[in-house]
Amino acid sequence: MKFNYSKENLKGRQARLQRFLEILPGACSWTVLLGLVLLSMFLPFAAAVIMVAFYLSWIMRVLYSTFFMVLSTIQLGIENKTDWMKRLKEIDELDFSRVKTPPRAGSQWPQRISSKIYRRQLEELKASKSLPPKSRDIYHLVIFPVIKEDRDIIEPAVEAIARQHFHPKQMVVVFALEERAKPEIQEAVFRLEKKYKNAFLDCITFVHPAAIEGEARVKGANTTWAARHSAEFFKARGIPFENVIVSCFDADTVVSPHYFACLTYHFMVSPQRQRASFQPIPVYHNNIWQVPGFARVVESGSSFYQLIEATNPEKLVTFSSHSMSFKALVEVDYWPVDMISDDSAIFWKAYIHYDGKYQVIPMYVTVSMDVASAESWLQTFQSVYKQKQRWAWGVENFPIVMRAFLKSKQIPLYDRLRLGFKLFEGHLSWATSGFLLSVIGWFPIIFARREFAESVVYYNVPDIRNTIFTLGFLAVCITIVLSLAMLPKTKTRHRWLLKVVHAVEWLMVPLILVIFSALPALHAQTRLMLGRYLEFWVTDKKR
Amino acid sequence: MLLLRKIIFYIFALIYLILCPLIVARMLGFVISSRNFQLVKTGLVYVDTNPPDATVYIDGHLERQKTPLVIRDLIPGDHFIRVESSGYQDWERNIPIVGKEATVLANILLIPEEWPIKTISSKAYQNIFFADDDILIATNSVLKDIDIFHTTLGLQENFNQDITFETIPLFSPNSIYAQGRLVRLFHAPQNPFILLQANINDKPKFLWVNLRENPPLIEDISDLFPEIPSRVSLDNSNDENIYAVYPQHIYRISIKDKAIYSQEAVHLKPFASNLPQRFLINDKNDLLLHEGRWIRLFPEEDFGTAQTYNIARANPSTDMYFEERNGKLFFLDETSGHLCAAQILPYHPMLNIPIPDALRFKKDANKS
Repeated sequence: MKFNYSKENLKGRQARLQRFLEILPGACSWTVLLGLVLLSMFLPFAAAVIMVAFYLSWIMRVLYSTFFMVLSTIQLGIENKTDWMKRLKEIDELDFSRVKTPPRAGSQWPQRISSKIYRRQLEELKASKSLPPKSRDIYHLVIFPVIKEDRDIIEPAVEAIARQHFHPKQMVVVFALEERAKPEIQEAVFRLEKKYKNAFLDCITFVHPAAIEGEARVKGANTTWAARHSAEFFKARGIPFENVIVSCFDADTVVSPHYFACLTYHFMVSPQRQRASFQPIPVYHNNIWQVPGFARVVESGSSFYQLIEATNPEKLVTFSSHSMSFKALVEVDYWPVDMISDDSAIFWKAYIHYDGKYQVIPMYVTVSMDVASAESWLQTFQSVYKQKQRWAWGVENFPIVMRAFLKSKQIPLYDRLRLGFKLFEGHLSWATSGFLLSVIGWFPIIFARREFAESVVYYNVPDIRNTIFTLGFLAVCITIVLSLAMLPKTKTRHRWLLKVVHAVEWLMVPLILVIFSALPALHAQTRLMLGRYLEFWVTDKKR
Repeated sequence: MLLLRKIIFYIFALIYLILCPLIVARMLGFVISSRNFQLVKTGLVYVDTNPPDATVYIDGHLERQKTPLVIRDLIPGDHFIRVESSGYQDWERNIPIVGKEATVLANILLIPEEWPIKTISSKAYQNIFFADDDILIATNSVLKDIDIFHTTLGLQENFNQDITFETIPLFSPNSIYAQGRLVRLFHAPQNPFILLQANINDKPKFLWVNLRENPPLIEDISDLFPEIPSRVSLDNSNDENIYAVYPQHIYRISIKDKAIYSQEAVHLKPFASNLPQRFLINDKNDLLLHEGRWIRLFPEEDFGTAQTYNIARANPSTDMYFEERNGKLFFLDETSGHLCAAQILPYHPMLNIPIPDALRFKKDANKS
């Protein structure tokens, strides 16, 4: 469907609809919060019943998510041991017209599971008759947008690509450099370009002019500029776009050594590879031991959220650093140039462009990034908050996606309802759950007047809540165990002590839920509701 | 994984759909009867005692938890509750339980088998007055025998342990006023000043005492009283003003300015020469009353016959004072005239609306 994925230049009914849909999430979140506060004061019985129903749905969701978080972590561990290069070679050598018996499984259960998934993917590929190009014909375009990241941040990211198991000469590294970046930043980028010129097929810097009409000061405008120029590069060399996978990474993204082999594998075994994005698991390990405890917990939580989401490809949306078919990127006319949440917007843009025939394929491979960090504890606090607010600004997609869904006849109604609801409910619960669990849930008891204090409800609600929270604590304990298992090793002498401290840090979860989850989300939705649009803010990163 | 996710999702959704109405019904007090498997409305009773940690029996069954506790799932109707605590009399009532409602037995004041009373002064007094904060003034006819006591002393200690109440004489033996005789004492609650009318060497004197100072600051302000007033009232809104009442007129006396102002239309607060002889205690309507020779307790009674408990005999012409902060009652013993303290409330109740079990913080912090 042809659809202008933007809020700009709308007129008449579309402009009014856009504005209404911008107001809707924030208005609903505030209605839920204030409604429950007022109910607690004037109709405490009704508030108590609603709260108990909410607590129960919350704990079911938590237990459900924890179950898949555990499965997902196990799968991440299993796939971490996979020899992706060997698999690429096997696929290259497979004769799909003859193949009957898939490769043998190993003797260990993780290998057997991995092998089973592998065999199933090959079966699906064979059945689809959408045979992949040979791995030697596949090229990777890696774009690093740069505006204020210095060499200390960018170089480890580029170095990680140079150390890939996949052939570096099939990779093109592009620095999308903002013209408004400071001279020392620009200089550092050019020095890096020179240093890594021969390490890859090419290493190029494209400088994005500061003021282009129709663009906002957002990352998407910069990466789009770089991608457009990269298209010229591939055209000039006769490399078909369908053989190119583009990865747009934050400048601090350090990929694991088998990332591109794994990505190439998923690209090859996906029948709809040209209409797909590939989502790795983001972890924030680059500086995890150098940041304050609250930031460590916040970002570990973000990683776990992505691990859970990875188990649900039907509803998975791209997030942060990810990869996609370059052909699709060109066909959908690149990233939005006027939106902050370009990482999720590109999925919706492609999904609408291809009438719902676009998917995100989860990859059980990690990309490591920096936890937002600044000079002082307080500045880090502010940075983390602003980063979360920027993530929550993904709500800007809601009105645009809804307008497209209302217009679309090709996307099945069920899919539109399903995804529309998920998008809306996701943002609503993001902005409200933390407040309901940590603060408002207590209001019926706090505001209790004599008639409520003399009802059985008054005495039963805290008991039910305590039982539910105890179950919730069980989920936190599981998360702590997984978090300790996943965190990178430190070079300090008392590693065990750090781990104990980190385990204790997880007790801050109720506070973190409010301060770094619900509050920034509500803040973002309120800004959108009031038409006070957020400007792109580059996260502070310090090592 | 996708299929598994769908299966688990539907299982969880089903569990939620079944559990949610059941839990909400449970929260509203509905339970399934074990006799006929029908949904029945129940009520509960909240029992909190002062002191806590008492044993509760309901219809003869011992409850495992000690007070404060909530006893749930009670079929509507009368239930017999007995509360036992070592050293205290049993508390027994028939409590009516109503469906979906909580019967609140908050701060049941357990009556000790014997009231713990301590004599805290070695000499006899004629009366006691309460002044600022925790200052109790025990008076005698000779000024040197007037003493000050701090009523919050021993706030955190166990009453059964030895607590020494320090006796602080208002006048040092060397004071020029020490041998004077007290005629009248004027004071007001929460006011750090008192006015003493005394005869020093057969001359009437008015002594202004600032109890905030240590030792108390005493100032002779007799010059501000050209005649003996019929009464004097202290102004609570202004520490440094007093009103001298004469048969024909009222004077406002500014202690600070040492000035007398004629006051024709002044609204005087009730003259507070005596402490209130009744106290509502235990954060509810449990009444402590000085009635004739007896100090008596009338606990608020919602479910049984009102009862009266005699605490101690006190001189009927003297005052008593109840210190809320440590639950102690101060009075003068009828026979000896010694200052005594009785522990009435072992614990200081925190809120008048009970806190459900799950939210309750330990009351131990309030142990006195």
